[in-house]
Amino acid sequence: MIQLVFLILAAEIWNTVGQVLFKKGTNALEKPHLGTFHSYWVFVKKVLSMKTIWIGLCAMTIGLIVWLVALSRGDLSVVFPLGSLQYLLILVASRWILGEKINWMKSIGTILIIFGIILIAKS
Amino acid sequence: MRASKLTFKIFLMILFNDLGDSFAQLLMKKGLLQTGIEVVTWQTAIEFFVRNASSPLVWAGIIVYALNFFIWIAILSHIDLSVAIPIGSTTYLIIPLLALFFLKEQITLLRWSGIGLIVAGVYFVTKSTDFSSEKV
Repeated sequence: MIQLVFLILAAEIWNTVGQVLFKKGTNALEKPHLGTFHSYWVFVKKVLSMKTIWIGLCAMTIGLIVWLVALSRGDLSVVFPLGSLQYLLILVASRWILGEKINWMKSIGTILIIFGIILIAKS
Repeated sequence: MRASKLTFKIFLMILFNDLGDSFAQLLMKKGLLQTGIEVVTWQTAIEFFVRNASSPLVWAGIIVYALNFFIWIAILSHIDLSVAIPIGSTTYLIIPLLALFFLKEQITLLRWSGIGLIVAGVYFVTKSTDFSSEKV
């Protein structure tokens, strides 16, 4: 049981690292115009040439593998509620690593979502 | 710091992206169940990877994940990570609702409460962005 909790937490930390790196990578680029294919294509090519993005992809892959291992041995009623902690980790990482603005509304919203997921998982 | 303006288009992209993620998870879960190996020792871990690497369902899941990545980075280039991720939780309500309409599955009161909390949470997070985009 304790081992399962550690596995899930490890998967979430790797995922968070991956997401933060993705965000850091895209922050360094110009925003693509979502309406035109050409602008998007230029953006994708730039993204794929960035080291940050590739390291992020590695982190996400490790996260996914650890998550799959957790799913393979874990009770879903344990894995899913714990999975909701991802939202908390992202909130903290966005604030402290990416310097995003976190106001009360965002924090309350995120906490409501976490409780909502726990309720759904328990039902 | 980059301004983050959440538009309806980006909101829809997030929903689409998360549905894709759920679909990929479903495919992988099905694939994993087929192999039926529980990872306990290093040996079972090796067996787990060898068997899953030859599962078409697992590969289908990986392909959906890969395609989703290209949508996700476009989303991230436009809005804050701390907004994009919580909004993605909307899939937690789309799936039970789809099950209700198409599979006629019952939704318990507890589950409705969970769905309600998530809707409220997403609403708050959405509101919080308008707030920060004014300041930036």
